[in-house]
Amino acid sequence: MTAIETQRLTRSYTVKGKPDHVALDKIDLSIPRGEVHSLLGPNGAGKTTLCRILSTVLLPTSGTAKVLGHDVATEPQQVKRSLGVVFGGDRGLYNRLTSKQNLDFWASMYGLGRAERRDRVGRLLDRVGLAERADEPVQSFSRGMKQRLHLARGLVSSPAVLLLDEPTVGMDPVSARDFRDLVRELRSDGHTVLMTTHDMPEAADLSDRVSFIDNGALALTENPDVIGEIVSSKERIDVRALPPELRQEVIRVPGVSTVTEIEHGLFRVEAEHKEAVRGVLMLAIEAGVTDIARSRPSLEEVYLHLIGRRGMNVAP
Amino acid sequence: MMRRNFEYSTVDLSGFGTGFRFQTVAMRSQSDTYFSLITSPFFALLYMAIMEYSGRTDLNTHAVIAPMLMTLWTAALSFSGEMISENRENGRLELLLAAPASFPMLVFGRLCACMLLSLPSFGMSYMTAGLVFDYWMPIHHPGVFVGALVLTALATAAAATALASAFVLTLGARIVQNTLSFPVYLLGGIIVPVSMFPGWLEAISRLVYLSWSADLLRASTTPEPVANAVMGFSMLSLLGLSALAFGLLSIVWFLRRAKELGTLSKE
Ligand SMILES: Nc1ncnc2c1ncn2[C@@H]1O[C@H](COP(=O)(O)OP(=O)(O)O)[C@@H](O)[C@H]1O
Ligand SMILES: [Mg+2]
Repeated sequence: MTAIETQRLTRSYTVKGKPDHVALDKIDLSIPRGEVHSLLGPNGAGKTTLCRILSTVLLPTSGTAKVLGHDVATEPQQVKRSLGVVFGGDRGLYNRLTSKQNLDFWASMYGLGRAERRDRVGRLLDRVGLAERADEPVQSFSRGMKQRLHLARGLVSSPAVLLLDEPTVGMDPVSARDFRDLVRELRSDGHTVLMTTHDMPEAADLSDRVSFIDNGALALTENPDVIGEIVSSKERIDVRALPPELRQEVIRVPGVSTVTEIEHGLFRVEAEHKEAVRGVLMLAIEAGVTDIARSRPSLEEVYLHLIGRRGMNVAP
Repeated sequence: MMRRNFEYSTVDLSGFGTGFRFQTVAMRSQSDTYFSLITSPFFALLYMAIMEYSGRTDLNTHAVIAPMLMTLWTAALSFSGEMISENRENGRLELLLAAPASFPMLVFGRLCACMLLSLPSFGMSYMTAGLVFDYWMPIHHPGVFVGALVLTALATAAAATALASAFVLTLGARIVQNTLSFPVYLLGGIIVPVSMFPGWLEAISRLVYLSWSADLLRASTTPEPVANAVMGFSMLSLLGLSALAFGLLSIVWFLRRAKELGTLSKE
């Protein structure tokens, strides 16, 4: 059975004085059970709208969405019981209550009995590393701790399907690493995860498949290796104030493919491998140029790259 | 767009229990709690002083019972005002609705727990009258007293549930809160029994459940048998149930519309 299935799913918003805005446009998405699926897209692409519809808190304008075979519009109770939801950042916590009281409340919202709640809450606090802070009010927590508690909140009903809407935005690196471990654990326990993000390396690292969404339209669904390849196959660095003679030398370094001025005085060096990058760095540092940064291709670039390639594939 | 009626059976007791438990925990750290309580001994002092110095000690029971009923109603107004909007602003409302428990019953459960405030409030007003004026209010019909108190608390929670949805639909929660305090005390016969009102005003006040509560509570303190007890309890139940039905249905209606319009969360 598919965990998540949408057919021509469309949602538009009516804002007074403006034409209707189509936030999702005939989305067809099918996610089998046990898959970790990332939905990548820039701000305003429609990611949150899709998560809202799947979690039954927003109705589709047309088309259908099903979770484990249950329609979100006509069988919301069944959908809610099988779904855990984490919506961006640290929403959903009561600041004046302790982490234990918060989780206990949410466990009770999912119909867990007293003994079951105590057991589940204790284990979850342990799992997200907050057992020692169980009895402290959430308002004293750091952002990272709140986010971890929020994840625990989403897991409180042991949902078969988990929706994570930008779960790592603003997370510190340590929490982000723990988060990845947690997702891997969930995957090996057989949970289905749909995660939205605009962090490509994260998506490539964690997911079985990745979908791209832009302007409410689902562009394509790919194996993450493809993205991983693009993200890591090209090495690139941005160098400020690169004198013309040095520029000539950099171009001659084996493995450097291009040097382009991307804005006034800022040069982007693209290289095929790490050796080439090292060569460029040595040259620059010897010449006293130290304003150097490593950069990654943006989501838009990969997106264009993939769309472009698909275009070529279908060409005769 | 697909149409359907109710998402959950509106009478979902797990939502009720969750809300009740949550509120008893939350109230301990919420300043509204103490705000609703603080007025009780002062009103008891004020009313007792009026009765004593005007020589109407026959109305002393009013002075002791009124502050408790006022606490109930103040709590109803202050807690119901934020019940939905605080969740909406925090982005919690969507998460609450994504959970299986009934949201309207969660609200009713929370508001019922708020009514527990009537107990310390009564204690304070009873003690104030006793310690300051040496008036220890007798309760000759404890069964009627307790029954009326429980039904009044439930009816107040029901009215507050109805208000909770009114508060999200109108912008001026504060205005509603202010306009609904003293007129309700008056129409509820909390201070002056409604039988002392002119006929037309008494008729209106009979639609306010508090007028039945106040009469029953006061009657339970006198040695005479309680007149019209059956009528009183029936009216109290009927008005309370109507408020509850109206409250639950209007929350369901509000949520339904918000899901269609996409206005559940404030961006
Ligand atoms: N409640 C709403 N009312 C009106 N427009 C909305 C609402 N929610 C989102 N939108 C609009 O719909 C589009 C998609 O938004 P969203 O799903 O939040 O995108 P994402 O999560 O990918 O950033 C955006 O243009 C946004 O402005
Ligand atoms: Mg979003």
